Amino acid sequence: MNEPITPMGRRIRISALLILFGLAVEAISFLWSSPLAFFLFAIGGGGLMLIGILFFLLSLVRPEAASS
Amino acid sequence: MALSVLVLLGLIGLAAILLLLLFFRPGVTRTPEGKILAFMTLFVAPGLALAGGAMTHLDHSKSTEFCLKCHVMEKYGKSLQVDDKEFLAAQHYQNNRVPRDHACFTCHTDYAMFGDVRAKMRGLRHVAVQYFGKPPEKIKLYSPYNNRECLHCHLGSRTFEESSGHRGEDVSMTDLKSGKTSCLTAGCHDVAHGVDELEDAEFWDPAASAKGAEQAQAATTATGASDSTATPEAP
Repeated sequence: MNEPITPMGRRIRISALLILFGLAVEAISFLWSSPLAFFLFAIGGGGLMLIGILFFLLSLVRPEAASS
Repeated sequence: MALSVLVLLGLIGLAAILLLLLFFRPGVTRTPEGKILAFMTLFVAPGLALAGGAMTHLDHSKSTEFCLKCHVMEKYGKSLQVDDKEFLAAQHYQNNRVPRDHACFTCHTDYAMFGDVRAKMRGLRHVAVQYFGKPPEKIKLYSPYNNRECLHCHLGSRTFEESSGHRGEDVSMTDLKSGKTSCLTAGCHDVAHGVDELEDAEFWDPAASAKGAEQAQAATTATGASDSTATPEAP
């Protein structure tokens, strides 16, 4: 925790957090037996995870990430 | 809980641990191994969880229990228990002609290319209408029921092929196979669910039926025993 956070590290943390929340929502959707569970999975969990994945992939192709 | 769900929850747990590691120690990604770990954790694991989750949810949505959760489907669920041979859906359900846990999906999917996908897309719309819209009072099929769905199971079965009704003057096997004569609306199997006739219908009670069958068997056994006592076999 004490090591300095680089811009890349900050983006990884944001991606990790988004995906973590997405996975938590997905896990909840498995335990919920309502037909709405699929909407929760697709829109809630899937949305958060896709944003997290895209954020990570975009951070890889940014110029400062490429130079580091 | 299904094994697939347990496996997915295990994958989610593992991914969560790795994600927490990346969150608290983002510096590990400076090494080549750390970069691979980050790629696996931030791309591969969530991708697998998404694909597996979608498949699990789609599989669950094929269950009879899932279909009958909506209020508008209650009557259709009740129609599966009608004790009348004229009720087609009830006969299929009660005699295991369709798997009971996937009864609705077995008859109402399209047995054609991408039929499952089409059925599930329609299902998504139904769930959306149920919760966020106004479901219609009386539901109906999008298009007339296709014989293809019946023939998917019945074609080639002995009772179907040898039935005189399917080879009569009015109905020919060729017309049935081509769909020219509808199985449901040609006057032969025209009561599918019969939801308008449920008020006067009698219902099948599996527990009572099993008990009745046991009692009948016991009575037969007792009669047979008393008969053999009364009239011993000649040497």
